[in-house]
Amino acid sequence: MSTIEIMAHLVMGFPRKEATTESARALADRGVRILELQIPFSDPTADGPVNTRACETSLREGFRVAHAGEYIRSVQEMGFTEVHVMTYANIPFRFGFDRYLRTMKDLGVTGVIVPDLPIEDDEGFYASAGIIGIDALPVAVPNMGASRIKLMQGMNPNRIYAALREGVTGRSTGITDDAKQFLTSLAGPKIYAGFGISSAEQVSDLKGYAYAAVIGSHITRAIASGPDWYDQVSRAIEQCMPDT
Amino acid sequence: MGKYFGSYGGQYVGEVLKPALGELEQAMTDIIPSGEFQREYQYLLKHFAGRPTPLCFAENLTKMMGGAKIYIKLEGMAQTGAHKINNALGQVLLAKYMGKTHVIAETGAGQHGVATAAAAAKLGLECTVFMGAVDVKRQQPNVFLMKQFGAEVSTVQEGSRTLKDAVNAALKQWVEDSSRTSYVLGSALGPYPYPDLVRTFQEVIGRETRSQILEAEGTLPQQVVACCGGGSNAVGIFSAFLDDPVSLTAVEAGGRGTGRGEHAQRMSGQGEMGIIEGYKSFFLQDEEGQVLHTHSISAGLDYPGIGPQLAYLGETGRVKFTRADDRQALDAYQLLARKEGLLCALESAHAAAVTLTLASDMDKKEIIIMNMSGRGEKDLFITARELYWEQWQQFLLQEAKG
Repeated sequence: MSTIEIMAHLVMGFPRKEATTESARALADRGVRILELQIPFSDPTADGPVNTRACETSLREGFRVAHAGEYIRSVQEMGFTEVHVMTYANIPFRFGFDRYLRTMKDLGVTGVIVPDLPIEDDEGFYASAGIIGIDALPVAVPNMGASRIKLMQGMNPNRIYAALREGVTGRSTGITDDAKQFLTSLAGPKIYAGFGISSAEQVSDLKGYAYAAVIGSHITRAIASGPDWYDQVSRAIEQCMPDT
Repeated sequence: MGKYFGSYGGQYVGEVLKPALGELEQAMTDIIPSGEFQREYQYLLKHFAGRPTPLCFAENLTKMMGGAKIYIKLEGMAQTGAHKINNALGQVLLAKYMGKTHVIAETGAGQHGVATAAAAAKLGLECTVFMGAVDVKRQQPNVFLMKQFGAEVSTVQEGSRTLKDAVNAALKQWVEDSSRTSYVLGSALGPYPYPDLVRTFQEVIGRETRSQILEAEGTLPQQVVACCGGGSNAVGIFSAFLDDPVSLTAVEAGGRGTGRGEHAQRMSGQGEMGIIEGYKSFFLQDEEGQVLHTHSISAGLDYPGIGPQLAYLGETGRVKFTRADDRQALDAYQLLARKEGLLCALESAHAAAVTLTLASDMDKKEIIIMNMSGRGEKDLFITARELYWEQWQQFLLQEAKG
């Protein structure tokens, strides 16, 4: 495999709705085909400072979970081949897990990611997703150990979200041999590998090991840097695109 | 016990935290029951923390209320001024046995931070305490004390910049560095095994109280009352009476009103079930699941969630939940000082307010025990502001001028 997709991550409503739609448009215009939208939560335990502050700002500026559908519909028209939705357990829990999964499926969402619903403590979320017919992406990390990887593979996921660095989002990651070995151990499903990616070199390094490289905090930082969201996000994503 | 109390508890954490929590669970099972650990822990409780703490008969208040005999468990007599030291010592010692060289902790009011910093100093481990920027600002005396114990205080600028954000920051730091670091959580909540671990180290409050009342009165009390933030002092004292015919009452912060953000009543107010910060329990949250701000005059009760075991005991009716507001807590604080010579922490003053009301409706032959989880010196800057403002303001201005 010599190609790799980019999955770009946007926090809904940061710093307001137009920022999300303009950023998504910039990404689509630059050829990004996979988008991950985050529904802001008040206590985002797996996010680093950059996306945590983005969630806060979005909520303070009036983002409501009830608006999520509009955001998803507005990016659907831009030509992305996959749209994924990420949030924390309490949001779908309050909404109702099955209702959440059905709503996402009806909105045409490809996959959902809920980092604080690990296998075994997932309230049946992954099984329900299978029944309803939407992908719920389990999160794999390098320190998880062979027995938990086996448990994850036992669920036969179509897609896995792989966090390359032990820790939270937003700090720079070198794609080490250990990371490559870890990604190889997950072989089978489509792997979306992320955490701390901000350069074309990192993305290039992942070729052959992941289906998509996830660019998150790097884009959030670009959005935060000024009001010209379209241009800022265009520049940020271009920095991450390998030449070929 | 296990991972769940009824449907509450669990381990809803990112996969990255699983190995560290697994290691802690293993240590809890293997190390804590061992003779070596227990000998050292009990030695520290006695000769460092100052246990057993007294169970004091409040004769004047008993006469004044004209009802049940009122006893007060003086947890505030323990080293660093509150029950928090029982758990801090236990967890820091456990970290040492696990071969860790560094502990981290979250703190709101600063009590758990101070206790952990003291325990780490005593046991020779490095200590970093995470504290929200808002709390750092309003709790400078405790920041100073933690630094005297050699701890680093890391200011958290995210979210509401209070306790819950300090918890998030501490968890993130732990993930980065779990090979040499242990996370010492301060209340009986969070992901499994913390609710079990913290209760295990706080059960000493109930064990002592039970044998002390049997010695003093030859019989068990009818009522035990404790204040309840996260719930570690409550679950600690209640644990020894769960199988007895003893009524257990937990008092939440009624704050300054019943509106959103004005109180911290999870069980006696508008709390709803949620999955937040690694555990399932009752939380103050909006319809969409976003965590709400809370208010209490006592920083230790000012928290949107409650420990899963207490949520379960509340649901089954074994523990009754009620409230006391800011004003009632201040009144009880003053009454305990004047009638019993006890300076009560504002958290515990919530329990005192309810204890006095309950006592007056009980028979003279009956017994009620309240847990004074902490002593009140730490609240000087709050109580003096509320009760002694003019002179206090002059004093502060004069001190600031130097």
